[in-house]
Parts: sequence; structure tokens; C-alpha cells
Amino acid sequence: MGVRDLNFKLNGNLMSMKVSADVLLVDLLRDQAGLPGTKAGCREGECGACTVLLDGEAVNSCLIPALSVAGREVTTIEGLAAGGELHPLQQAFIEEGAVQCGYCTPGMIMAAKALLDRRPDPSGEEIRLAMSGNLCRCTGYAKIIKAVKRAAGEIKSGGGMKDGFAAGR
Amino acid sequence: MDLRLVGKNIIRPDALDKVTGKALYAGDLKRDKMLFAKAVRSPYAHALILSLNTAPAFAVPGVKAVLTARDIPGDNHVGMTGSKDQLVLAEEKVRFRGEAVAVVVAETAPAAKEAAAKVAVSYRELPVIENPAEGLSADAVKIAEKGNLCWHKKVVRGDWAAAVREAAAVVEGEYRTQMVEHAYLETEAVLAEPRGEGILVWSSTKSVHLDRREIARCLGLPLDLVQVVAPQIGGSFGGKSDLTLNCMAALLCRKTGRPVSMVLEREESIQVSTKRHACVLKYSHAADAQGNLVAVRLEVTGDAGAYVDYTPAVMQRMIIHGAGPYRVPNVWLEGRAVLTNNPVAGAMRGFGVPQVVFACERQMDRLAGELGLDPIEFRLRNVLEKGDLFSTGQIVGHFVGLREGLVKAREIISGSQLPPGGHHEPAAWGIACFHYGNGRTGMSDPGVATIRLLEDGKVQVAVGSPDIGQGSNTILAQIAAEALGLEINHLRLMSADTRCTLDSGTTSGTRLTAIVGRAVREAAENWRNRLFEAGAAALNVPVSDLRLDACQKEPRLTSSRGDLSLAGVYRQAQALRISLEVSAKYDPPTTPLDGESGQGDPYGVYTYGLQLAGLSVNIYTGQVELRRLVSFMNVGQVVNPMLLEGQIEGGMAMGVGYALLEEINLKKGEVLNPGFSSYLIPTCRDLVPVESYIIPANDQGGPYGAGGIGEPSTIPAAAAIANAVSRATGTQYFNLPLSLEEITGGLNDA
Repeated sequence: MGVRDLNFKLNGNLMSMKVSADVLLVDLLRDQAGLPGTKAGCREGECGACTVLLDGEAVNSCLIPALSVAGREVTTIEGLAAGGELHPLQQAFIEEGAVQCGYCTPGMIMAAKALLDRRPDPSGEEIRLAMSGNLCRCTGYAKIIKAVKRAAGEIKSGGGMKDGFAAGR
Repeated sequence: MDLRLVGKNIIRPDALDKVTGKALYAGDLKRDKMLFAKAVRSPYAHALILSLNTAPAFAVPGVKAVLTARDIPGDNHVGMTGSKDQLVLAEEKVRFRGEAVAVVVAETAPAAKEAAAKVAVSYRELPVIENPAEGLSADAVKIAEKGNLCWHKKVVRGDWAAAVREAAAVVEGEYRTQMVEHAYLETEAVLAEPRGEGILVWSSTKSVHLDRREIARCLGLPLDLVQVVAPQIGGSFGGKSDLTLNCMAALLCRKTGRPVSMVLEREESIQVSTKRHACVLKYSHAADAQGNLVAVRLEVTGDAGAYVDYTPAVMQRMIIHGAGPYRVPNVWLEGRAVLTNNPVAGAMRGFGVPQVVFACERQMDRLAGELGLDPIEFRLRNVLEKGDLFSTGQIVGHFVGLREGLVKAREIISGSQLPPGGHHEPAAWGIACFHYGNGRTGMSDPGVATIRLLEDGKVQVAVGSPDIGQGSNTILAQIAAEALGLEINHLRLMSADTRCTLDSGTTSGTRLTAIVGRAVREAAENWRNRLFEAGAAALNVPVSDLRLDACQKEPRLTSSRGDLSLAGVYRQAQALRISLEVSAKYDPPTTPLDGESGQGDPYGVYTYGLQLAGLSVNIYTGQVELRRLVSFMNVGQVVNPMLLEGQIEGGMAMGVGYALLEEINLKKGEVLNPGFSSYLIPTCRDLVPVESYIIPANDQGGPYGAGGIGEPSTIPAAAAIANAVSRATGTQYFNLPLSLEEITGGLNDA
């Protein structure tokens, strides 16, 4: 397989890499770009653990040839907390208890990010539809859906996060 | 008792790394000069290995080594339980499809895969045993030398036959449950790297200390040269570790002197990992005219798959729980497990109890119908209460709460009619009760914990059992902080590293909160006493003069003659030669079960509960639409409500998959649906939110009266759904899953 130059934007940074034509985006991110936050759960586009944003759209990075992102912008879970401050989705996932084993979490959050960027105030059904390509075996999804709803509210109101969640709900 | 931290929603500390992508799982670990390994797997489910030629693999550039059984310096036999009949690399024959016969290591993963395909193995196929009935037939080929029946035991009390003769109603039924897959999102993964003279193995495992023993035996190394650490684990549900995988990577690391990474592909994982036992359950229940259960007989046969593995533990649990959470004076509960050439059946959330509860609760509904009683009324007459006897003769020593749950469930059902979705979509509620013993069955099962003061004044709580994603580290930290009189942020919780934790058993059997948690509490209380003794000696005051002030960022011991920070206590204790490291062990009060009758006290802690499913069924398509899911759990004292709720929601979702969607389809031992496009697990659109009720209690055997939740949350869901589908359609269903074909097939037969 030929090796070619690949220029693209990754989490806001211009990247210039030598990439073999048979490399998939998920492996480029994990192995060459040193960003293991994007997970590979099935490598057939069914589980959504590898979800990243490609020009703002949620895609399964296990189905995308790495070279096809030339000139485009990729955002991974590592690129979400701008300047070290958590994105409202990340904060909401923590506080709603939407994280258990965490293996689906990066993909879930990226799928939700694409939704909220497109539809800042989605209905419950719109959330479930947007997240239905992301499998989770731990949570039963209830807290994930809640977290997305909560984040939508917080993003809409532009409000920061409330701290001190510890005492009973 | 006033509790400061137990019962509160402490946010799990690992969540931050998990939402930012920083959390590292075994397959994320990278090392300089790391090699990649791939197993050569059998394409046959049952075959003799005639010859094996590894030479062609070396034609692939980058191949460093190929190992076969002959290259194993130690013991090739490994296993999660005592039987240890499985081989790391097959010798004379293979017993299931995908069994490893050799393993290749190369500079890149693609090279390893290509080379693995080039290893030349010639096989002579043997007849494939596809189910237990075939395995038990007189002319069946023997999978193991000792024969195919690999387990057979009973739990017997009273006189079953006599009770049936006098009963007013008897209901019999034969039920079938399917093989299913854990489907953790992270596949099995391991990284083995050289560490001094020895080896460090990072494994996606629920059992670091057990893994260390098995790896050391396989490598022929002393235990102290093998360290096993679990990084973040992407789900277990009874599965993981894959001991053969750990051993293969470790062998290759020793052979090459380089780090070796091995990650299963999804298809490979589903083909070779252990599964939930498929079962045939023959039940017979008898009741008197007043609706009291008088006798139960169960004969359950489980498909053990190709090796024994966890089968004894799973089958033993099935028969112990076979009478359900009911008062039944006469029981005959008999189980058999049979080797087949299917994937190995192992531990999966509920250890056999979901199978039994499905069949038993179908029986309860049918028997209620026979007696003309409402299903809840019938259960109310029979549920266990404190002071009753379990099937093993053990006395129920604590509040059960099923009665209270059933009463509340009746309110919910009578207050909420489920409107049909049209004349072709009848709706109904279904209910199922269960009980579940926490911990290992009738054997020693110690939880062990160590508390040590670190030089910087932090208090380390060390337990061997990994947090498999369910949040046990958070639960144990809450228990420790409660007992120590400290805040969570004063603690460091260390788990799942064989070098700095003691063996506190595997993360399975719903044993972490109840059993390991109890050891944590005892260690913490003893450590606190030790801290006060050290403080008293250092400040030269009586212990009674000391207070532990935890309000500060750094906790301090205060007294009338001065204060000491914990870092100060550390230094003084060193000088005074007082050890501030304390370990405690808690072994639940169980007794071995009698070999003939199965009588004894198998568990020290029990979880009880019931679940409701409200649903409608399209009688033309068989499509089930869930309307409501309701759960009642008695887990004793709740430690962390949000984590508890998360377990209940996730567990019930797994039960929904078991009821309606999931089934491993096999042909000659080959999994025909080895991926998420063909093996369907529930998505967020297949579920409705779980309405979760906690039955108030705090008298269980765990710390502060707590009991466990990990497995129980899955157990009754499928039974409740099956009862609802049967009621809605007026058709009795006997098999899982309730697929479209199963439901419409049943309606056509009726």
C-alpha cells in the first residue's frame, strides 16, 4: 500500500502526516496521532465507540479511510474540553452518573455533541434517535439520555456547571 | 446509626478520565518495541490435530516467534475454577471452534494476522456434539476422557413425591433458555512486558490474583516474578479475563524479551469467549387448596460447552436458587451439565439464576392460574420471610421485603391500566420475584483489604478485586472513609495490582460491596484504632484525649497537648516502630453443602427483589413494545444511590436483551452471528426508563447492613417480560428469547 501525505485539522491543530492508504481513521487517531480516547469496539460501524466529528458530523471512524479526511477537520473526545474546561456534555455525563465502564463514553459524547450543535434543544425522541447508533452495555442508557438533556439545557442557557453534587438527589 | 458518606451520591473519580478520553484500557497501552500477537485458531469445533507446521508463518516479514503447546515451559492447563481442564494451546485435539493451537507474534498487527493464517495445521474432524442431549446419548463421542456428563448434583429436602400425591394442583413445564454473550464494549485485551527478571501483565480482567497464579504456573515462574495489573476495564458482566489470552501474551513476552500486545477482534471475542449456559429446565410445582406451595421438583440440564470452566459454580447456584424466593417444604432440585463442542459456558451476570428464575416464575404464574388466584396474591401467600427456610435448610436471617414490594407492585398495576395498542396489540403487566446469594457458594470466600498511611499523609485503601466499570472502587472508598472518619479526598483507593494489594477475590458473584466492603470496614476500624495508638504514643497523651479532625484539607490528630498531621503521625510512627498498615479479612459465615442432600448455608448475604414489565404485543408480527419497567430491590443499606440506580437500569436492560433479542446461533460449534450487526443487544430505542424502588432495609450481612446489586438487577427481567407476554396474548410461552418467530409461532399453535 502506498504511503501518502495527509494534511488535515485535528482538534484545532493542523496536522501533516505520512499515512498508508489502508489505514482507517480510528487507527490513525489511536496509533499515529496518539489519541487513544477514540475506541474501537466492533470495526464494522455498529457500536459507535469510535464516533468522532468530521466537519462537525458524527461518523464511525472505523469505516473511514484515513486519507479521506484530507483538508477536513476531525474532532475527537480529546479535543472537546477547550482550554482544560469541560464541555457541558462531559460535565453532565459525570454528574448524571452516565459513565460506568466508560468504553462507550467518548463515542456517546461525540454523537451527542454533533446532535446539540445541530439541534440545541432536541426532544427526547430526537436524542434517542441520534444516540441509537451508539451501544452501551452498562447503563441501560437512561442516565446517558438524561445527561444529554441536561447538557442541552446548560448549553442553551449558556450557564456554567453547578458544583457540589455530592448530597442526595 | 448516623452515616456521613454511606448512602450518599459520591461522584466516581474515574468518570473524569473517562469523559475526557484519558482513561486507558489494556488495548490502549503502547510501549517502545511493542510486538503484536495473534492466535492461530481451529476452524473445527472438534478435531484431532494431526500435524502443525509453523515454518510458513516466518515467510511474513516481521514475524518474531510462533509458539505451540510444546513451547510452554510450565503447565498448559488453566482455569477459573479447580477443574483447570482448558489448555492455553491445544495439544492433541481441539474441543471448540476458535480454540488456539498456536500463537504468532510480529512487529505489526497486520503481519501477525497474515502469519497466523499461514501456520499449516492438518486436522482430522471428529463428530461435533451440538447439545447436551447428543452429549448424553449412549454412542456419543467422548469430549473429555471422563465422559460428557461433567456435573451432577442435587438439593433435596422433605419428601417431594409424597407431597405431590396430596397436592390440590400440580403444574409441570419444560422450558428452554438460550446461550447469550456478555457483549462488553471492550473486547479482551492484554499487554505483557518484561519487568526485571519477571513480567508485568496488564490485563482486562476481573481477577488479577487468580490470573497471576495461572500465568506463573504456565510460565513456570515463581509468583513474585509475575505482576498482574488491571487498567480500566471496559465491562465484564462475569466474563474476562481470558486466561489463555493472558498466558499467550505472557509466553511470547518471555520468548522475545519484548512487550507483547494482544487484543481480540469482536468476531474472535464472540466466538471464543465464555457464554451464558443454555439450559433445559423441567419443573413441577405443587400447591395445596389454599394456594400454599408444598413441593417443587426441578431437573435442569446445562450446556457446559467444550470445557468445564465455571460450570460447577453456575450449576450449583441454579439448583440452590431453584425453589425461588418461596417457602417450599419439599424440594428436589437436580442439575446436570454436559460437555458439548459449543463455546465454553462460563460465568455471566446472575450465574445461572436468570435461567432458573425465568422458568420458575413462569411456573408461578401458571400455578396461580390453575388455582384461580391472581399472580401477586399467589406470590404473597408464598414468599419467604425472616425465619423461614431456604431450599438448603438455611434460615432466612434478615428482612426479605418481597411482601412489601408485592403490595406496592399491586398498587402500581391496579392504578395503571395499560391501554392496548389497538385490537391486535393486547397489553399486560408481568411480574417476577427472585433472591440471590452474594459471594461464592458454600465455600470460603474472603474479602481482604489493607489500609496504609502514606508518607504524604494520604490514607491508601488497597483491595485486589478490580473495578470492572460498575464503580466498586467508589463504593469501597465510601465505606472506608465512613469507617475512618475521613473524607473521600483524604483517601487513595488502589485496586487490581498484585504487587501492592492482597488477594480479595474476583469481581464476580455480587461480592464486592457485601464481602470485600465488609473487609474494608473492618480494616478501616482497626487502622483507626492503630492511628490513635500511634498518635497517643507520639503526643504522650491517652487515646481518650485524641480527636481526628477531618475538616481540614489535611486531617489532623488533635489533643490537649498539641496536634499532629497525618504526615506527622507517619514520621513519628516510623520512629516509634508502630506499623500503620492494617489488613483485615472477612469471610462470610457459610458452610459446605452436604454432598448428597445439598443442605447447608451457602451464602452469608442475600439480595431480594421483583421486577414488573408492562408491555403490548402485536399479535401479527410478534413485536413487543415495552411500556413500563419497574424494579424493586432490597439491597440492605444503600451505599451510593446513583451507582445503585445505574446498576439497576443497566442490569434490567441486559435482562430485556435476554428476554427479547439475544441468542447466539450455532452450527457445528460456529457462532453464526459473531458481531453487533447480527447479534443484537438493546439500543436506547429498545428501552423505556426503569422506575426504580428501593425496599428500605439495613440488616444485610455487608458493611453497615449493605448487600450487593451487580447481578440481581438482571435476574428477574426476562421472567417478568415472559409473564407479561403470556398474559397479554393468553398463550403460555416456554422458551427464550421471545423473538418475533417465537411469539407468533406460539400464537399459531394456540
